[in-house]
Amino acid sequence: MISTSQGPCTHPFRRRYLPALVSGALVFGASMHVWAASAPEAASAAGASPAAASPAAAPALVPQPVGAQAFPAPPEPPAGSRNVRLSLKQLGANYPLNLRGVDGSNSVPFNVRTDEIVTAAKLTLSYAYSPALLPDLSHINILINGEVANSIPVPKETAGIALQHSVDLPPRLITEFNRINVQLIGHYTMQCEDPLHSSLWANISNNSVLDLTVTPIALANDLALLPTPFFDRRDIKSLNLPVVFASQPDNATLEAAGTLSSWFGALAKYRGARFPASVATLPQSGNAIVMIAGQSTIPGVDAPAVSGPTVSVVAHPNDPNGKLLLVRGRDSRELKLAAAALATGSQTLSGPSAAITQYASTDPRKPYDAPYWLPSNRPVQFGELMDAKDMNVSGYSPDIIRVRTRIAPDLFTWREKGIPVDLKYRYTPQPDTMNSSLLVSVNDQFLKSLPLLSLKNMGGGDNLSAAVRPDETLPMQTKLAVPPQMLAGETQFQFRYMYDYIKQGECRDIIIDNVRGAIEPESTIDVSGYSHFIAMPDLNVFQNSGFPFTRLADLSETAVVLPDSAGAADYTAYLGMLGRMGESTGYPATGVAVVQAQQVDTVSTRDLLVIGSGGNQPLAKQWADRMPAAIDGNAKRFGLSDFAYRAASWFSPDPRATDTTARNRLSFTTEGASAMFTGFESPLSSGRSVVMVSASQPQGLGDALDALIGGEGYERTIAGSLAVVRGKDVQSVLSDQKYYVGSLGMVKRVQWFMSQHLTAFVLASAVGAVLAVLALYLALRRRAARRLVGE
Amino acid sequence: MSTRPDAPTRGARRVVPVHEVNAQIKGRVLNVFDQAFWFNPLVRAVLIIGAAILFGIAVTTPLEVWQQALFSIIMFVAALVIRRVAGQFAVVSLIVLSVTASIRYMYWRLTSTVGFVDPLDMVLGWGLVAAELYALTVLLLGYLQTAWPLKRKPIPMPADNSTWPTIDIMIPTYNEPLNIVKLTVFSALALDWPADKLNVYVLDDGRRPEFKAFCQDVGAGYITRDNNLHAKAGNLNWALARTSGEFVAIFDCDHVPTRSFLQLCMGWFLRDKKLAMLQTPHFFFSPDPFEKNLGTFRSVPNEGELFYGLVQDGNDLWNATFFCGSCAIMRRGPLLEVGGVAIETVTEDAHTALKLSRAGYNTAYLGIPQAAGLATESLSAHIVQRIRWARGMAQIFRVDNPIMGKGLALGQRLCYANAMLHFFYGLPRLVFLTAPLAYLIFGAQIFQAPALMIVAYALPHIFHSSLANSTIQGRFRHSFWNEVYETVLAWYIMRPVTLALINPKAGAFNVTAKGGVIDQAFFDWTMARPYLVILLLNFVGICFGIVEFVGGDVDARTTIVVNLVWALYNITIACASVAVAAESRQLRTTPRVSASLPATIMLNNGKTIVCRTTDFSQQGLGITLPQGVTVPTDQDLHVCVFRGEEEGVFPATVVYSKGQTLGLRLDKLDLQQQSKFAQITFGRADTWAENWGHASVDTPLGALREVSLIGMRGMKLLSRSLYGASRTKISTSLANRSSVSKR
Repeated sequence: MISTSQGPCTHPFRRRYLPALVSGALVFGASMHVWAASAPEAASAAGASPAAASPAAAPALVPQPVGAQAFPAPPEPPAGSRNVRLSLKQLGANYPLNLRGVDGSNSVPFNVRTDEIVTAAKLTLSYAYSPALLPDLSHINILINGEVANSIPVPKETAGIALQHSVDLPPRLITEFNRINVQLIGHYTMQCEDPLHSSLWANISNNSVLDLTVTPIALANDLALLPTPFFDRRDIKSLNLPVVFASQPDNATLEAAGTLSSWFGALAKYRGARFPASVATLPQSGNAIVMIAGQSTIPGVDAPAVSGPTVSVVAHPNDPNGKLLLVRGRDSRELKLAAAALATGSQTLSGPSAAITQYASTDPRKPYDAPYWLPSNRPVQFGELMDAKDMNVSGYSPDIIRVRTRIAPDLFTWREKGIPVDLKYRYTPQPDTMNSSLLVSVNDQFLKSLPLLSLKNMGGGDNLSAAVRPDETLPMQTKLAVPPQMLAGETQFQFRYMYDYIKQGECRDIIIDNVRGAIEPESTIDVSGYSHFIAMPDLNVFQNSGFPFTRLADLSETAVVLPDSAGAADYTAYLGMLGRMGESTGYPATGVAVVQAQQVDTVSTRDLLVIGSGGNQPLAKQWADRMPAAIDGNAKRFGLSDFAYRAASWFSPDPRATDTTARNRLSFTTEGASAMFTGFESPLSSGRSVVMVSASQPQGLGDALDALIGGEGYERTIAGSLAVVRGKDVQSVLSDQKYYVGSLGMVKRVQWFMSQHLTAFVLASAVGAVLAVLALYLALRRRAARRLVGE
Repeated sequence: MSTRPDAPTRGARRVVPVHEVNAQIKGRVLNVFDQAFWFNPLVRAVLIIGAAILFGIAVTTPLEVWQQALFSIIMFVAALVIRRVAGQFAVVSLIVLSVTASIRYMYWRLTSTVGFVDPLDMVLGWGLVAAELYALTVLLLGYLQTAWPLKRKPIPMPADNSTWPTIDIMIPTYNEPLNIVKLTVFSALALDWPADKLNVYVLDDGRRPEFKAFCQDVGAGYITRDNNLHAKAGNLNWALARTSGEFVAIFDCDHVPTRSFLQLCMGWFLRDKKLAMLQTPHFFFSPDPFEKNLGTFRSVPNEGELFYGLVQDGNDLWNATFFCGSCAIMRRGPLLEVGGVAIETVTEDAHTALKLSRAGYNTAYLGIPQAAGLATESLSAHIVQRIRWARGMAQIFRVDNPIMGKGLALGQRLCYANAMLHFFYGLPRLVFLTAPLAYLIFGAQIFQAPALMIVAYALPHIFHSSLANSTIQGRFRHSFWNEVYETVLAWYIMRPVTLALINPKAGAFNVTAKGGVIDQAFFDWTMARPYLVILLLNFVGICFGIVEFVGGDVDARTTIVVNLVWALYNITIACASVAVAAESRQLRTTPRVSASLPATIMLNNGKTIVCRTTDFSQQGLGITLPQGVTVPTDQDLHVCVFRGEEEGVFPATVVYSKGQTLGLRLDKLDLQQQSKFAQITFGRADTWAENWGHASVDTPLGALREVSLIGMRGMKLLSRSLYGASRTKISTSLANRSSVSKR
């Protein structure tokens, strides 16, 4: 019986790259002689034993058990440089790396910012390995970009114990995009061995740490580099980009800033982005955006008067390695133009400064056409969602193929069978009967297993052989129906090829890596059959997708209501939230409107995002009776139908239909609640939504934004119609869904209403029955009377 | 409540005991619906559109299982309450509820349960869906047919009988014995109609001299031809060309008309000049094979009662009454206009009526039995007859489809269509009888839905249709009996119908008929074969199911239980069908009719005894003597039977005597006496109407019990016959062996 190491313990990030294997083979080839020289007495016993590597080159560093010694302190950095410490987990290894077999290998990527170079690097491995390994032959290789950086011996004494070992990585091997490979060369016998023997294992903790010492390098002031250095895609940390207003910003300036923050939010994607705002003060160091309207200036920033919308990059006056992105205009209107041009056409700019002479605003966006969203008006090919070359894999247990997209959160999937996915895939058919399969999962939830039939399974035959492509893969096609509830917001399709390996027999087992798998880019997913209709308020879709504001990707039906005397905290919250929406849509918010409470009537037909802190938002009081809750200073009052009342969803299992009503109105005061999210229907226009973010103190808005971005430390998501944030604790208190957004076909709408309201349904049926009985009775009676007259 | 001259209590549905109260309520309701308001087209439009929209909602709205269950319970309680109320309004209400439940079920069935993936599931699953669709179509058309029985009443003839039209009575015969035909001829000659306007013709395709002599003796016409082309239809057409009466009344040679037949029926022809055909019920005074073999004569409505008691009366509303070949009057003009009796199909009668309807003539049905005949004697003969009907209907469906073609109103098309579709039940019935096996034996998921969901949707469909049909059919067909009748015939009907659909001209399937006297009870193994197979299959299915239930997946138990219950039901029905195949003994060639008539016995010594009859047959009388009087056997005497003022005196012999009960044989009657006896007994106007529609009212649970008991009887009979058969076989083989060894 052969274990194929394909169980659930093998984590999805496991990668096997052909280059890595090639280099591994080279390592083996080179070290063969060393081994033969140092251990001649074993040569005859090893015989034809294929894989062996020498521990002779191992450094004198002896591995230490964990606990005996803490992580070694990073070395003193050179001047101007900084230390970066990243765990493998941060680099993307969600699970420990398991190495199996004679040649198990796994890798994690890491990148280096453009404006920095690595001067020193050290990998501190936390690991354990099998007691069955023969120390003479077995070892663990650390490779960086395919080159061996170090080999770690596996002595018997420390086998099976959690160990730590630091490896210095030669900086010369490190480039912008890198990959650390960990490879187990493992042998358990000198005789013929099973290459996939279960005793051949090593386990590398994903808490292993990579310490990098980086030194900044000065970049030219060149717009062509944009968005670098303000955002660098090599940097996996969340984006923190200060926005500086030269003077107290007016609404148009804020709109311009919002456009930029949403643009950067879209670029930052999963990393998350924050935009600390300040007025007239530059941050001490680092990069920043500076918004200058009219004549206002910022001390230290050399910004001569401009003759129109202008964008430029200058060095930070106090930080030689920092850059400032100056966005300028003679008035805030021009500023807005500059921001829009920058956000939508940065790739056309170059040089240290560019005047925007012409900016043709693009066609108005259509609902749901956000670049990051799956188009909902046609079947979409996978090739549109990702690079076709990333949809090919090789090896017996290759990496998972991931197809990512974001699905509009308001698809009305009630009682729908499943979203149709027309999957076309190819694989290398094996000659004999095997249990190979292609596993399809969605968001880590298993969906279906497609058997990869062998040629024999399918009856062989010439037709079949003819179908096999020149690259020896067999094209297949199947239709999947993905349960709609699996596709909420951000969605990841996961395709995992798992090939069965059949043991050839004694001493004949040489794994030849000749199996391939691919998902065809022509595969499609089709959500065009669904209506857009959702019960609101639903803060969960606001958190996940910025809905309903992001319905139009440029937020042209969104208005942000800021407090009258807004301060930096309010601006920061505003910019952060727009960044969040950019992350959802992938498009800059060129159409957003910013107003104050007294002008709210001018934007009455828009969805409103209301921000307030410490009682500075008049709308919070004005609309108190429309809201499920209101914050009056410290006293919080809301109609209570506890979120636990969602147990009432027993009555209607569709979570969008938890049409529970508030039962009690009661006031209470909570200490420590820093912010609240409230969703309700706009008092100004029916069918429009208001999301109010309010905090009792200005700094509470920061907590709100962090909660919105979420991530590690947040156990719960924002949901329902009222969510309270206390530090890192998010509690969704209410779920009063009172109105609907979107449109449904008449028939569907009636059916849905009826299915949610049994009483109405019974009544309608009863009335219908009475009418039908009357109509039939009268008709039959009249006919009978006529027949009996018999003229 | 309707009353008729000769039918004092024609079947009225009476569920609430205090019928007077109901009559009052009904009277008031009728008044309400006579208001002009209801005839306003706007009101009607609102009613119809509103009903259509809300019906659409009620049918298509998807519900969760518990919601559906609750909805079903509300509906069912409403139906039970409505059922307590008498009247047509309640019937229409029950129909609406049933149609809602059934269409709702079918909508759900077609939209939510057919996601088959496996090819086996797909074939079996769609097969079941098709069978269900057929059953639903027939159910809906059946409601259309029976929603409002017209309950036509006779119209009195004008006092001046010189204005009455001339009528030819035609009695076609082929191979029936003379003594049967005699009775019919006597009764026909004695019909109450001016003698100069009435001609009786015996149409003898057997060309038998004794018939000719008899006709000459009694004064009836005798018509023969030199061929037998187109059988009965050809025979009638030949006679039509040689007679000239304005009207033609047709009686099968074993259908004895009562004297009032013409007077009751002809009134409508005078009122409605477009009326071309009037049909009356076929009434049988002998038990059919079901009644005979199951012992249900006169207690459970027989197979024909639904058709003549309800369906024909309902068809009449839509002007779609069928001609049934006998006991009917036709206007000669229209009949000749459509080319006489139809000859294209083997059911010439229904086809002729269809042609008349197409030609724009009216048809009518008068639900008063005015003639009676002999039912088929054995199961095999019964099956032969039904095969002919089914084949003929399928032929009409092919060559002259009522849905297509000119001249018919929608109601007529649908009624005719249902009459034909009804006979296609063979295959669907077999599907239902074997459907649970697909899951129990093969594990096929022919129903892609959770078992509870199926129950929540399917049960209302079944319950409401049972309830509505039980209320509508009440005295004319008991619940569950339909399944028995259909199951018995399903296998036999399926092949000829299919063949006739494919090729309407193809020949018939012949099943050997074992008519006449059944002198010894026997089990008809040949005929029972199909039910035995079904029985066996369902038994196997149940065994599989129990094994699976005990040892299999716990989650599948609900599904298994649903299928087990279904299979058990099938077994009950199959057992009841098996019971039908156990032919019971029947010695008498002329069956007795129960009747208590005043009579007097005149002994040869001059003593007279006033007594009453208990029953009569063509050649005998049963008598109950007064207390304390006995008459020994083998004594010749005279018996005097009364009909009102009229009396007949007949010589008789006592063949049976026990206490007060006396059996008389009347075998020495001359022709005149025979005629008189027929008039006084079979020709009495009220003889059959009194027995008409008087079976007990249906209660579904009672009927289920009845059918189950018969099923158990079938089981018992079967095991006994099996035992008997095996013993005979063993003993014969033993005997053979011993004889061999002796040699």
